[in-house]
Amino acid sequence: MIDDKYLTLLHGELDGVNSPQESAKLNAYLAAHPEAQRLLAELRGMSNLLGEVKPVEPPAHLQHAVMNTIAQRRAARAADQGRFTTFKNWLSEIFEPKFAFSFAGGLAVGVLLFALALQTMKDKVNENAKLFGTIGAPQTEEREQSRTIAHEIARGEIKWRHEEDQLVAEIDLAATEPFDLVVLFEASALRCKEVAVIDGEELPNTVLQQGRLQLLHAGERSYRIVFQSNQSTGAGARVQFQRNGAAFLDEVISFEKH
Amino acid sequence: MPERDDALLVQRCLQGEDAAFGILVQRYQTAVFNVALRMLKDRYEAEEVAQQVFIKAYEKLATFDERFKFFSWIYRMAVNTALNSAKRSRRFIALEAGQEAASPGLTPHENYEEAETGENVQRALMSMKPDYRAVIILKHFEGLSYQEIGETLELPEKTVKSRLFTARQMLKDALLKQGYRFHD
Repeated sequence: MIDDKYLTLLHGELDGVNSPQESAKLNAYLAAHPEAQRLLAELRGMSNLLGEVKPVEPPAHLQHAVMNTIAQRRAARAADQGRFTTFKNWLSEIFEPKFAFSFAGGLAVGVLLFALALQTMKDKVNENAKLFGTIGAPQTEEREQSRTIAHEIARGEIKWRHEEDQLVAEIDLAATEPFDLVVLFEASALRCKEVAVIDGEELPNTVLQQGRLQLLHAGERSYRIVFQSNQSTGAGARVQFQRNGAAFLDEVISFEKH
Repeated sequence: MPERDDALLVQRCLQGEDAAFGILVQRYQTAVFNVALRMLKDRYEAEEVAQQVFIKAYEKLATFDERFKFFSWIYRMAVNTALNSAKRSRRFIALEAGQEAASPGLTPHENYEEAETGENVQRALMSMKPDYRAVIILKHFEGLSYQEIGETLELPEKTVKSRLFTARQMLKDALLKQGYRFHD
């Protein structure tokens, strides 16, 4: 059993923080206590072993991803502030007593219309779900499914398929303006394992957070995104094309096992 | 003098110069990523944690107390965010083979040995409680002093020492179980 006082000196020696007097005191103790010698040798050996473990390089896109997210959040905050000011001005105008009754009436009609639209949309979605067994892309007999994109800003194709327990999405895009390509997925069911530009270019600014993959798309590029599936039945994801945080295209892709 | 330099970069960033924060990210990304990786074992989670840490640091930069070191502050966020992430997911996925970058200048055999050592050490680390794992990571992988570990983990130096000594004993035992021998 090594005395606590000497145990502190022993670790201090290992960390190189002992004074010459402390080292001398420890050496005298070590000379008479082989178990302390043995412990110091073991700790030195372990420390050397830990020193052999080299740091792992962080992903090359980490810094870009951080700075990109910061810039986006700042832009979104500025936009929110602008909207809030407009809204505040509008409210102060609306709440002039002479407009109060018409505002209340308009609000009530608006809520009613919104509820009706929501119900109709739900019915339609349920109908689709009954027909296809899932909400999203229709199932086909083939393993690979695809969806053509024809939008004034972006054209191309999204293909997706199962490869054993991996889910692979390939997205070919030609865009007239840059936009954010966002893939939203269930983090509990899917783990994003790989994102790559197929023709070998460097990956543009990319952010991967829990259940969300976002990259800045410009020009013509094809992407390959690989997910590891934690579920035996399949899972779903949404592909969105966004500009200034608003989606101008939203596709649901479902990875069903056939 | 990197500490003074860090403080200057923080000042510049607070005055609206985002590029200054970019320099801080570049300077600490390897450390933050490795702390998260050693705490969590999973490369993807570590990447997420590293991103969260820097974004949180940017957003809370105005609250940074300049009496302390920037790196202690960022390390503290890295350890805490990694601990929260571990609690949330409660899963530790093994580093997949070949994910750790091979060291340049080594033969394939040396690279293999180095990767194997890394995996064995990581396995031993994961067998320890996170509080003990954190002190080992900060001391042996990041080279922090007792005082710096204390600042990072907000612990008195005395507690750091006793925790480190216990952690070393635990790690040594875990490695001995794997068949490592550290003396003649």
